[in-house]
Amino acid sequence: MADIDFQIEFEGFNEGQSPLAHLDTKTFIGNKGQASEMKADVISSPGFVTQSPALADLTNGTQAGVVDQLIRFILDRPTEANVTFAIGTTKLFRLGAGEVDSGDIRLSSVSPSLSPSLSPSVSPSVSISPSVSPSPGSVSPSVSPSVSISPSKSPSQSPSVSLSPSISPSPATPTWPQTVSGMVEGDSIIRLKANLYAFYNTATKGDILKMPLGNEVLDQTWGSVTDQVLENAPHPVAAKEDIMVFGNGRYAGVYVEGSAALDVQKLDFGEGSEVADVVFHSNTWWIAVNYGEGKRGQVYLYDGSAISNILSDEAGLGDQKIGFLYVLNGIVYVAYDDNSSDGFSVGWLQGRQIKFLRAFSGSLPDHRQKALYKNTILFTSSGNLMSMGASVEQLPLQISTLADGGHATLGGIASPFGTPMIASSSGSNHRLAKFSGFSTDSNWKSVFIDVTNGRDLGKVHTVIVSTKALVGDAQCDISLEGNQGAKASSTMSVTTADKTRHVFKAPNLEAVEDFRLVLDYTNGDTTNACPIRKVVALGNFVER
Amino acid sequence: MAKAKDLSPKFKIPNAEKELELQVNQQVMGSRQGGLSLYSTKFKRGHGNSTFGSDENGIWLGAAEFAEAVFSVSMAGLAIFKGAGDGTAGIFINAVDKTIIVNDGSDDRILIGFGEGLF
Repeated sequence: MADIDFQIEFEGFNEGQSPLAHLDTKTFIGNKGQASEMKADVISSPGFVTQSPALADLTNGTQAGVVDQLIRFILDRPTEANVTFAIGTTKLFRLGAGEVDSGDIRLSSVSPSLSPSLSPSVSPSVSISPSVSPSPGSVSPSVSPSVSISPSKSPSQSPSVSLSPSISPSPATPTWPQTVSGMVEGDSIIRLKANLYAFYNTATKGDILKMPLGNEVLDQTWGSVTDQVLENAPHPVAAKEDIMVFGNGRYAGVYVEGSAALDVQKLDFGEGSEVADVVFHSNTWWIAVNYGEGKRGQVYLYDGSAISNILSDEAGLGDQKIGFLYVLNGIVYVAYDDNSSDGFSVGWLQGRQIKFLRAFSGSLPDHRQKALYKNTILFTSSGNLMSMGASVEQLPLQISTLADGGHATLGGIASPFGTPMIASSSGSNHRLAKFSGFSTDSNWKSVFIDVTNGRDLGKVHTVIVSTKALVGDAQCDISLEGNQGAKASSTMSVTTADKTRHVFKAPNLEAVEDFRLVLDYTNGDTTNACPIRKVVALGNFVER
Repeated sequence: MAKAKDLSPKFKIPNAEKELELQVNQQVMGSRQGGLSLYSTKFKRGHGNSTFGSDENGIWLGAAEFAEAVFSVSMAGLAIFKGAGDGTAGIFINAVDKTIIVNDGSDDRILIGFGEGLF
C-alpha cells in the first residue's frame, strides 16, 4: 500500500460559504476554502480563517445602563466628532464610539459659548446702568437683543438680566436618552443640514420628530403638526444635501430642508404596496417597493430633484420580497427573499435585471440592518451578522456568517465610527455592543468530500495545519466528521506560541465514505486569534 | 510510488470584478453620461434651474422639472415663455386655440387671436 493514496487541501478561506450552504448544511458542492457551515471571520485577513469578532457592550449599553429597550435604528454617520444618534421603541439615544450618553450632557457647542457670553456682555452693561438710567431704551443697542436690563436694579442683582430661551441652559441641555411621547417603534433617523429627523410609529400612526443639532431639543410631533399624518408603516429614509425622500407605507414622501411643506404622499405606489427602502445614487432616488405582502418586489428610479410626481424607470424582481438596498462602490445591491424556496439572496441591479450574487439562510434583513464592514456589506440574518462582498475586487465575492449578534432578536446595526455597532434584545435584556476582541463562539466546517475509490473507503492518517505564527494562548481544535457526520475523529489542538506548522498523525477516524474538516474555536483565546491558512489531509484507500 | 489522488473540492468562482462587470449591451437603469441623465420616460441635461429636459409633458428649459420651467412646449402644443422669478407672468402661445396671450402676472394684457371670455 502506498503511503499516500489521496490528499485533500483546504485553503483560500476568503471564499466564504458554499453556494448551497443555505439549502444543505452537509453539502458536497463547493471549493477548497468554502464552508458548509460556519461562524467565523474570513474577510479580515483574506485567505485565512479565524475566529469571529466578539462583542463588547458600550458603556451604559445594557438595561443596567440606559439601553432598556431594543435599539431599532442607528444613524450610520456621526453628526459631529464622536456623536451619533439611535432610536429604540420609545426613546432617542445619543451615542459616542464607546458609550451611550446618559443624563444631562453639556453640549460642546453651547457650553463654551455660554459662560463667556454671560460675563463680558452682561456684567459691563449692568455696571453702567446708573449712567444710562434716564434712557433705558438707549441701552438696548449696545446689548444683545436677547438681554434686557432694568435700569432700576443694582449691578449685583442678577434678576435684572434675563436670557432668551435660545441660550438658556436648562432647555438646551436635555437629559439623554430622551423619551418620545406615544412612540412604540422607532424606524429611522436622517440628518438634513443642522437638523436631525427621526421617523417613528405610535400605536396608530406614523410621525416625525425634529431635533436641531445645536440644542438637541425635540419637536416630537413635527411631522404631524407640520403637515398630514403619516402611515403606521416602516419609514426608510435617504438624503441628498437638503432633500430627503422617505417611505411612508404605500407612499414615498419628500421634504426639502427649510421649506414649509412636508409632502408625505408625493408618490403613490398603490393599494397593498409598501416602500421597503430608499437610497440615493447617481443623482437618482432608488425606491424599493413590495406589493401584496411581499409577493412582488419592484425597484423604481425617481429623479434627483424630487419635484415631479412621475417615476423615471423601474426594474422588477418578480415574486420576491425586497429587504434592503445598499450602495457600495457605485453599485446598488439588493437583499431579497425568494418566496418559493428556502433561503434569501443578495444581488445587484445590472441594468433592469437583478443579478443574483449569493444566497444565505436565516431571515431577511430590512433597511435598518445593513452596514459597511471591510469593504463588504454587513447585515443581519436571524441572530447572526453576515458579510457579503470581497475585501478586494481581485478576490471572489463571498458570503459568510461572520459573528453572533448578541441577544436573539437583532435591531439596528451601523458603523458610524468605523467599528460595527449591533443592537439586540431578549426579553428584558437589551444591549448595544460593538466588535471587540475575538469570540470563542466560532467554528468553520468544510463541504463534505467523497473519499471512496471503487469498493474502497478512505482513511485519513495525517492532518497538517498551516497557521500564522501563533501568539500566547491562541488555539483552534480540529476534527474530522465522517459519513455525513455519523463518525468523528479525535480532536487535534492547534496551539503553541510561534508555531506555524502543526502535524497530526493518526487522527483516529475510521475508514469512511466521506468526511469534512471541522475547526472549532470554543477553546480559543479572546485576545490572540488562531488564523489558519491551509489544512492538508492525507490518507489511504482501504478495502471494506 | 503512484502519485496521490487529489480529492480537494473544486468549484470555480470568478473574481468580484468579473461578477460585478456590466454585461455588454446591457440596458442601464438611470444611465448618466456627463451631465445627461437618461431614463425610459425622460432625459435631462444640467441641474437645478439650468436644466434642459424632455419627458411625457413635453420639452423645457430653466427648471428641474417641466412644471416650473421658464420655457416649455407641451405635447399638446402650448408654448410658455417666462422670466425667471416672474410668477405667472409670461407669454403663452397656444397652437390648438391659435392664441398668443401676454400676462403681466395679474391679468392677461394682450391677446392675438380670439379667445372667448379672455378679456
